[in-house]
Amino acid sequence: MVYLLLLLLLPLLFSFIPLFSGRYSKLLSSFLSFIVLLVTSIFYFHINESFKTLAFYGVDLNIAINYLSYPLVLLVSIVVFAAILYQDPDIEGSYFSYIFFLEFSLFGVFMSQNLFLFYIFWELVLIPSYFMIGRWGGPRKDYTALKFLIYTHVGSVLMLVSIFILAYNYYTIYGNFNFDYSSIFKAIPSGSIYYVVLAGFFLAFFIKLPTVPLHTWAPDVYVESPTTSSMIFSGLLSKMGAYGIFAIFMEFGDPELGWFIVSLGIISLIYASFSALAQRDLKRMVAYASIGHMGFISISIGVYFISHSTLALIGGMFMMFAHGLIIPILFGTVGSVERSTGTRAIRDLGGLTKMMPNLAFLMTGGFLASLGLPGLAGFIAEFSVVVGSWETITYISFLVVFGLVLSASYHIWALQRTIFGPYNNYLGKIGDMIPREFWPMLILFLLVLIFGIFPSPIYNLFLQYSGGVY
Amino acid sequence: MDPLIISGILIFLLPLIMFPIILLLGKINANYRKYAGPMATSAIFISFLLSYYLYINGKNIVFEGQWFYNFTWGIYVDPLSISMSLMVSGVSFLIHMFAIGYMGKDPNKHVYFAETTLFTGGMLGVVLSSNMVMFFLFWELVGLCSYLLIGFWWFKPNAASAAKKAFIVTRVGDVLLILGLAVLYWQFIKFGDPLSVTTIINNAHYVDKVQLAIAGALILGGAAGKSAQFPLHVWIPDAMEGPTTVSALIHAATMVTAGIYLVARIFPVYIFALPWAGYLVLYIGAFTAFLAGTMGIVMNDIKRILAYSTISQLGYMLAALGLGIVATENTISISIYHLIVHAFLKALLFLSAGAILYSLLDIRDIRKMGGLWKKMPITITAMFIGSLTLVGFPPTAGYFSKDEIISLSYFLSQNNPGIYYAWLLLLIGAFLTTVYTFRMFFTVALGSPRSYAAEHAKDPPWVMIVPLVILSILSLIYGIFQEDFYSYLGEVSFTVPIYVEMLPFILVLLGIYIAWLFYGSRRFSAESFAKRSGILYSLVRAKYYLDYIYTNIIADRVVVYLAYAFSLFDRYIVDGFVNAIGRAFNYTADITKRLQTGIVQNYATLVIIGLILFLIIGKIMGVI
Amino acid sequence: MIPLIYVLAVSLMMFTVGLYGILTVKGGIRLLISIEILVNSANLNIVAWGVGIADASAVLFVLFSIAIAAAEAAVGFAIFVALYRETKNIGLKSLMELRW
Repeated sequence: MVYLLLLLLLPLLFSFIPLFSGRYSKLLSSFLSFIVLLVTSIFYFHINESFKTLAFYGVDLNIAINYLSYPLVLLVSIVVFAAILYQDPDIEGSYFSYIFFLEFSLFGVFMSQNLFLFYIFWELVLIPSYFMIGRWGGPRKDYTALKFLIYTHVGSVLMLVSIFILAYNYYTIYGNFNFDYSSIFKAIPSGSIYYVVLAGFFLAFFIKLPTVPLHTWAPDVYVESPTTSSMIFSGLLSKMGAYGIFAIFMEFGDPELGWFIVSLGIISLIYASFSALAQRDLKRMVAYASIGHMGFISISIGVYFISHSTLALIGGMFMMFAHGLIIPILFGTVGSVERSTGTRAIRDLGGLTKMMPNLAFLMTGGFLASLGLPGLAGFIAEFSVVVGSWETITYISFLVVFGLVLSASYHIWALQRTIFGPYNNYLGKIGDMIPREFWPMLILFLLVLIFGIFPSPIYNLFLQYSGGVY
Repeated sequence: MDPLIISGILIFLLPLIMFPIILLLGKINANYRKYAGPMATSAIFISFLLSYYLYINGKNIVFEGQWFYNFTWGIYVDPLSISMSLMVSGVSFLIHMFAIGYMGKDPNKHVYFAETTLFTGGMLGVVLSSNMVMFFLFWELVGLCSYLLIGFWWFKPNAASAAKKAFIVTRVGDVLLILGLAVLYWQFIKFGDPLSVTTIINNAHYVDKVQLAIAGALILGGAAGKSAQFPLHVWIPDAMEGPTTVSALIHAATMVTAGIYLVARIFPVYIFALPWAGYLVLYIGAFTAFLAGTMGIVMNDIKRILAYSTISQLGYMLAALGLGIVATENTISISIYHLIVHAFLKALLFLSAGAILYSLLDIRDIRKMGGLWKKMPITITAMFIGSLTLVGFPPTAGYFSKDEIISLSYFLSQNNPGIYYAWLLLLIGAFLTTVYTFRMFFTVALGSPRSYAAEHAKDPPWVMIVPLVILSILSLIYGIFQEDFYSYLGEVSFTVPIYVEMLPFILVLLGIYIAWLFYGSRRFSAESFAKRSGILYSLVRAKYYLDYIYTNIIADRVVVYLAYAFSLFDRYIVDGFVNAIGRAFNYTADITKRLQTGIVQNYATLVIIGLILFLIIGKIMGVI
Repeated sequence: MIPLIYVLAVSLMMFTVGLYGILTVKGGIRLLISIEILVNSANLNIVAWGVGIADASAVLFVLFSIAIAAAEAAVGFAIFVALYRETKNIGLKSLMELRW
């Protein structure tokens, strides 16, 4: 269906508009991102469409929306819409162009049905991200932008090697080149070369996820970016890794690998939770929280490799979606705290409820969602993963729930020291969240609430993707 | 749909819906905030009426609908959940009514009433859920409300800290509960709809006993967290930093009983599990009943005394369930009967304490009160009735509920010697209950006022008196419904010798007499007695160092130092390694870039050398 | 007729002189002169081979080459004149801005 191509190209088209719209760029970009959101929403009724053309040596423009990619495409439009509405004050026209270009690349990553195309979009994401950090970042923006670019690029080029090995292997077996997901994985080599291929994909996806110990780009990037970028990076870039894991890496399942990945996930969860507990900077704490949640995705895929537990798998998939909605709230509210008080240091805050009741509401909501409170979307994911993995990893689950307790501890501890307790009078008279901050966060929070109580619309998509049986 | 099902859903949905309405109304216009209390109260009254409608018209209504994956949502109505639902909505209604007066002057009362309404909705959801996932959703919702309401006066550092402690300690229990549900899920998946209450109750006897025992122990962990049983009891005394009505509603009458309700709800799981699960339930309950009683004696904060009393009474309820599990008897009715009686009497005690604090301007130290019977007669009379009911003085309802548990434990220990020690613990617990209750009562009510505020105390307005009177009457006469209640929920019959039956009563009289000697007539000095007991006193006074171990050692030392260790490791080892790789490239480039002199002739020389080398190598390899 | 090898020898000598000049001279003008010598040695080489294998197109190439060499010399002189105006110095060792 050719409309699919239109959906893919829409953000690319829109990325030129803010360049020429001068002082109207903010207004216009909000409107344009809303259009993208609308168009994406319509596709809820057209899942499983595909479009294929331009065959050229096995590299063709082959895009599709399936039950796994649609929620992510929707998530991208939602988060981009919210982030553009949020609008840091110190950004201008070209910034929105980068955002739309990023949205285009992310659409490409999630929609392509062809490893070559996937790789192109995967790398295309780096370009706008690099400039968004490098031009509008915080004090250490140069270091961070370079670190991000090189770190994630190292993983990607190794993935390129793996892709070419796969393609060559396919060529030796079938006599032609074909990069389509539907065929190339028939040619997964055996023997030692298998591990080379595996390592390439593994590094690319688990760096992007990020998982401990390949995570150190993430806190820097999330913290140094302006709030809008933090929302997009934390909410969406990590989903590329997660999507890669569920769409591509899943083809490589074997139980021993599963145990390895489960261990990585649990280490990620506990390690990130402890690190978050020690942070003095609120934004950095949120960054580590984000890394910790990604541990659940590793656990889920690892458990699936070991025992094919669908519940755990879908839990991990739902985690992508839930986390993508929750983490932007955290970064958004922290951004408001920073704008209003001029500081992010936890020890300098306190009793913000007095001056910022709206912020207190949203921040409490976001933090509770992040620690997995039932009724909010994160719970559905965490519950599915923990319950789904019990049969497989049994008593190791105690480590997982230990991570959950730690996660509750640092969230609640941060809440207690920032928005509760006595008001820090040195902060003076400060204002509450302003409307451009409040409304997008409220929208996200309501979505988190709705999908926490009625997860089925998204949950069932993942269920269908993973076979449709319990 | 069947009107019974609709009303069953509305019972918990109505208060939930009122939450945003009350909150937004108060937000829109500060003048509307005075309607928050009446709105909340009437919504809960409607829930009460609906529960009553269910009570009259139906037993055993089950409605289930698809939620997500193979989990369902729905309502499960049986005598157990109806009686809980009636109790929760009724007590909540009375406490809300009291709160209209008590919280009347608070500028943020719309937030208060919105949150308590949300809580009541959540609690009704807990008791009516047909599925353990939905149950867990509401379970955490009430935990959240507890967190928010303890920290309602968020500007007080103690309140913020207590809220944090409550949340994290109950969270420890909750994650155990999740694991317990995980065990159940995999055991019951072969019956379809694995976490539905119906499935669990009907199929428990087909399931592996070992797994059931593991599940039971894990779920008991969750129940212990919520119901403040040893060793997770530490949060309730601190939670008294919240408004007194919150303590009455959440930390005495309703939420803390959710753990008991949970064990009662999935009773068959314990029944068909290995016996050690039952002994675990029994002895955690009995030991908590005893332990909390000792701590109640040495507290001076009136609300903390009541908090320890709550913990102790919850121990009785859990022990009653444990007795049934160990002896394979259906003792749910005995436990729940005590639960309901306790809800009445503890709401009464907390509300009268609230009325005292209301007129004493929040002085909570009982040593600063005294002689209040003359100053505020209605309140203290209500408190007297509450105290008598708490200790189980005949013919109050407490006599029919608590002494029943003690007698039952004696009766069952005839065939199960393992229960014998539980009987002893519970018996001593009853004595301790009497001592701390009447210590509190005599100190508060008799003697002469010991502070300026106490001299000027007076009875509160009628809106606060009416709930006190209603609860007093309930506490006094509820005992006559004992037989009806048992037959409604499931009959238990047993007989014990008369001297065993009289034993608790004798201990109560003895306890009252001792309390009178120390605190009423002041013939003996409690201080010098405390001094002479030496290390024992300081051990109890320090709450057996459990708080110290949890807060100062585990939370402040172990976890925080580990966190710093991880953080430093992250920054200097993991990230340091990444940066070291980057720096290695930098240093290499620094060395090799020296070749780039910028002088044209050097480049030309290099080109020539390269060309010559190329030719030589080519010659050697025979390419040229 | 002079044997081909003699002409090639002269060409080689010119090439060596030119190369030596490029690698060692200090002034810009001398560098240009050295380059001219180098180009001319190549021209001579091509013409000699053209005669040796009796192909007239070699002459054509050499004519092009001379024209290009002239153009190149003109550009080179222009650069050095411009540099001299700027810096009063066209010593090759002092022109080392283009390094790392």
